[in-house]
Amino acid sequence: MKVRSTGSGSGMFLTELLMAILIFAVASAICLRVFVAANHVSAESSRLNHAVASAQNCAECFKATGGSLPETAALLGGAFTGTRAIEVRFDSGWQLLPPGEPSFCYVAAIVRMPEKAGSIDAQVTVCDIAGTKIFTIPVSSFQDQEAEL
Amino acid sequence: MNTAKNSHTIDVVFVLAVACAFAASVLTVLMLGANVYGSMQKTSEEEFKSRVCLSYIAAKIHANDSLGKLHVGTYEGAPALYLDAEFDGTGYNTIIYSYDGWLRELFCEKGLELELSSDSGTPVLEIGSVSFENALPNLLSIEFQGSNGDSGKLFVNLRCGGGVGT
Repeated sequence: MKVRSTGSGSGMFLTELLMAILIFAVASAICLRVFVAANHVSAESSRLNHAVASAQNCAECFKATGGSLPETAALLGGAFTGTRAIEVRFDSGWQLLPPGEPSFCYVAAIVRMPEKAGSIDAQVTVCDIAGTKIFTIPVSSFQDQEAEL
Repeated sequence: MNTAKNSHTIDVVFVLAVACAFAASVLTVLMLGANVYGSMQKTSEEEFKSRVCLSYIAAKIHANDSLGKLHVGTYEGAPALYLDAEFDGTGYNTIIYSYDGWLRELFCEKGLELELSSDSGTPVLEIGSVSFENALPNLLSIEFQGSNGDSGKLFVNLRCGGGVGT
């Protein structure tokens, strides 16, 4: 008479374990997506903060110099890119780079707009190396109106 | 008989291996989540300190943006920004400076020399250091150094058109 060996029970445990692993795999896939998205949002937020600060500095210097691009470039540590524009370059940590540095990650550009009576207008744009606009702000330097009166 | 015993052992070993792999995966996901949260928290804190410090000083400057009311100087050797005000005929200074790893604000009577100590001034924010410079007569430059090495710079244009003295 053959004695049939009873099951050790590990088969049932294995089944239960596999079910648990399956549920964990689904949950962890969702969590990993959330982690990656959160990391991405945090990096974007940091990038935007720095871009806003850089644009604000450009605008303040532009206003303080009365719309003079050479003086603004000197204050910001930037360079002329044409007769009506300057750009300031930053590395990946948003530290200022020397003018014309080829290995930059971000750039803040001040482009002077066509002349208008009473004010000198410009557009400050902060982009990354791929040219993707991160932040932009218009700035105006109003001329001394006493001279007009 | 031996074969039955061996297969029984293999079953147990396989189940244990799967359980260990499951435990390792759980730990990996937990550690990944903790790292992501930790780095987000650290970045957020650093940016908060930098942004708030510079925004606070800029707000103070704009609130006192009158001709001749702003002075860049030193307070007991530390770079400081003096904001003048007058109440009931008496001149007062609001002095913004950094000391002992904190951005501080001191409101005192003009000309009153107070010894720099950890008790003087109201601590505002924990930072490394802050310095002020007259970039132009109507442009103030504020440089911030965090306690963990990060730095930031802010230019503030004075709407009053000038008067940043020393």
